Amino acid sequence: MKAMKKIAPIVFFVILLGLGFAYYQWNKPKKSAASEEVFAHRNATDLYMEFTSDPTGAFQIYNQRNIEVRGVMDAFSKDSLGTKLTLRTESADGGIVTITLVDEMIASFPVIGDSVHIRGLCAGYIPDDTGLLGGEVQLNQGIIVN
Amino acid sequence: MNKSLIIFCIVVLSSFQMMGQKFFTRNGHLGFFSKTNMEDIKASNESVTYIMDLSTGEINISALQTNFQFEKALMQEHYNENYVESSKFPKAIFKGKIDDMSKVNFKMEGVYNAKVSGNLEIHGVTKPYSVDAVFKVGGGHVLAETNFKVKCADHNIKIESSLKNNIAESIDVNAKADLTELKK
Repeated sequence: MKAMKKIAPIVFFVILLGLGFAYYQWNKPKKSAASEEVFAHRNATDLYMEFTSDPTGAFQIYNQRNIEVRGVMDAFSKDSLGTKLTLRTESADGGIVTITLVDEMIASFPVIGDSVHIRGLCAGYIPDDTGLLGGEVQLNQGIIVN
Repeated sequence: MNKSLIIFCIVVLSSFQMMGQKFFTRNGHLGFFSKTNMEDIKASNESVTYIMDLSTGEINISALQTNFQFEKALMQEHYNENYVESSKFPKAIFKGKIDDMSKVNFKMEGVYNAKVSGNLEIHGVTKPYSVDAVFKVGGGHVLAETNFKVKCADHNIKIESSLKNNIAESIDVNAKADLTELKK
């Protein structure tokens, strides 16, 4: 009985710790470009070229990594589904880099033709199998640096 | 009378122009929903590429797995790491075609129901699918939408026995895209 009394607080503490950990895991915030350490700095064309020349290798390097990208804004859309910014590249196929932004992080929006500096978590590359569109490197959970 | 004729000519000419064209979007939607007594799991990807050839009815859809957004970060982690293994199989791809093009008239504004058949690749496993789709044609847009089911086992997605009650064997999928002309 005495031993039980000694062990009980420890068991209670361990259970509490377990519950706390489970609660944190369930409610932990999503990764975003604002919270993650920057893995690489690239301009939009260089990043796109890395993916077109070696899609698998580039994906292994950049998958879910926070990349800071510089480029010229080609398109911008904001609707109920999110805010997306497109950077043009100098690739011959007209490829682009797109960044879906974390809405609450947006202070002001650039305009088409502006040089922008953004960060986002790399989601990968969609090649253009049809030869019509150009490929697309996608970043998400992004922020505008300036 | 003259005004009506001009309007008629514009409609006919723009319709013929539409026929030979490729329509596309890079902002298409792909969502899925798993419902069980224990838990509902919902995710969506709003950066899906859809390309459709209006003359042949061919449809190509590509989505990056890591772009599916879940309510909880933990669900998203489990989806990418344990189920679809997105580092090995980063994309979901559908390549298909409208079965009977006579059922869809892209020259005329309207709502058309048609079957689309093709191959869906998820988790490195390609399976044939045949789904009912709706095409709304009008205003220079084609709005395409379909709902269908995907069985996890069909794509070799293994669910641990401890989570069998939390994840449905068959997942409801919704695909929707507002397609506009691809101008080169």
